[in-house]
Amino acid sequence: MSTDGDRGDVLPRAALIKRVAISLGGLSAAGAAAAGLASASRSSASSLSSRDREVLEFALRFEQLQTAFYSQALRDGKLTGQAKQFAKIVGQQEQAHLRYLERALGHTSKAPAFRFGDATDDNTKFIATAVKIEDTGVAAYNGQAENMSRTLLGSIDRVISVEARHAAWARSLAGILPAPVPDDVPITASKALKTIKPYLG
Amino acid sequence: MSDTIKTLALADIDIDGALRETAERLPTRGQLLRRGAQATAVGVLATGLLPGTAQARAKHADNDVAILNFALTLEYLQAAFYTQAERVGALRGALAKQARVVGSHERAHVKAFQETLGRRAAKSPSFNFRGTTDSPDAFRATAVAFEDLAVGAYKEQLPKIHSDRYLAAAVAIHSVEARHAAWIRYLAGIVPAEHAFDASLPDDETVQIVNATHFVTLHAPQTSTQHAPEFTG
Repeated sequence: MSTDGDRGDVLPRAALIKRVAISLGGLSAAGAAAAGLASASRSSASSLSSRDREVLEFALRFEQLQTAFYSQALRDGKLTGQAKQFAKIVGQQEQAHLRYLERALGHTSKAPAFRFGDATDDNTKFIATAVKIEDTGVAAYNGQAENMSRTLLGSIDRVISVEARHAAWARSLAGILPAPVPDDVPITASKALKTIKPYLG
Repeated sequence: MSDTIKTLALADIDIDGALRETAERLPTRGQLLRRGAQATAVGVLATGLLPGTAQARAKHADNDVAILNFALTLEYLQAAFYTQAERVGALRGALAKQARVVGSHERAHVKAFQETLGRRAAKSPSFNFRGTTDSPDAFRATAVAFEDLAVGAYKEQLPKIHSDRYLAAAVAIHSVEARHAAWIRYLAGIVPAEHAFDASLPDDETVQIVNATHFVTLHAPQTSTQHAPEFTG
């Protein structure tokens, strides 16, 4: 259940060093406390800590991937029955997550080109890929829980559990255990990005 | 939340709940904000106030224990429900499998919280599931309500947990509860993910819903199911 060793993974070393330097500088400034309190009381995108911003950007990448996958599956029009219903409902929800993250970040985003190969060709391949990207999404979000502020967690956890519902739903359709273990194993950002690399064009 | 939960909440409220006892120890939003302000002040005034820091740390630890005990009590409830369903043996096929697997998860959650809390772990209340484990229909409806409830209840607590170690444990369990909810919803023929965003469920509402079921009993439960003795944790 521990994620020891996973922390800080979302930040590349250079960014981490810079951030530590900034926060050290902030501590020595007399007005830092007042400024910090003021920014904490605002909820606009500009008040996001750099760490929270990086977590959000990372999450955005996942939501872009998922949104693109489901919209392509629907565009290709080869799904039927429950798989089609799944793509439709989950696709809309991923789209809503994407907009939510964009609002939090204060900017719109342009998704990179994704390649899903033959994953949208039939129900079976589609569901197998859905299981993979939804399970990875849950593990990736869980892996960031300690990296984000509790304030951000209070917002993002509304998305995390829906991702877990998607994963269980996809697994139900695939005929495998929807909840294979008592606690979901978190993964680091780098491992998560490695998992989705094949889909990046 | 689902209609099932709304239906359960319509029943009259039993104020005897053990869950309410643990809920009353949870920090209120106001208390949390004040503590947050104190913690900031301690940080700003830096090294001169070590006793204050220690005090803040102790308060955080107390809050965390209260939150974990609240979660533990919910897990007791769920574990007992699935364990009894399995003992009664009225379920077949996919539903029986769900009860078996999810039951093992809920028991693992109980164990994890008990081990984390040690001597400070809340004791399990007694339960009387009032026949809801006796038939597939009643079981299914109750399980949907319980799992959706757990998702909302965890969601409310997560951002209030101070310790990163406890948070990691709770987050990993939270997403599994969401998987359970989707699983039983699928078996019940309802949309596993109804909304793009899951709502959090305030503590008092969680307690109110659970108490409305009259599943939690203060005293040793009377036998009301035909098939098996009650599970008492």
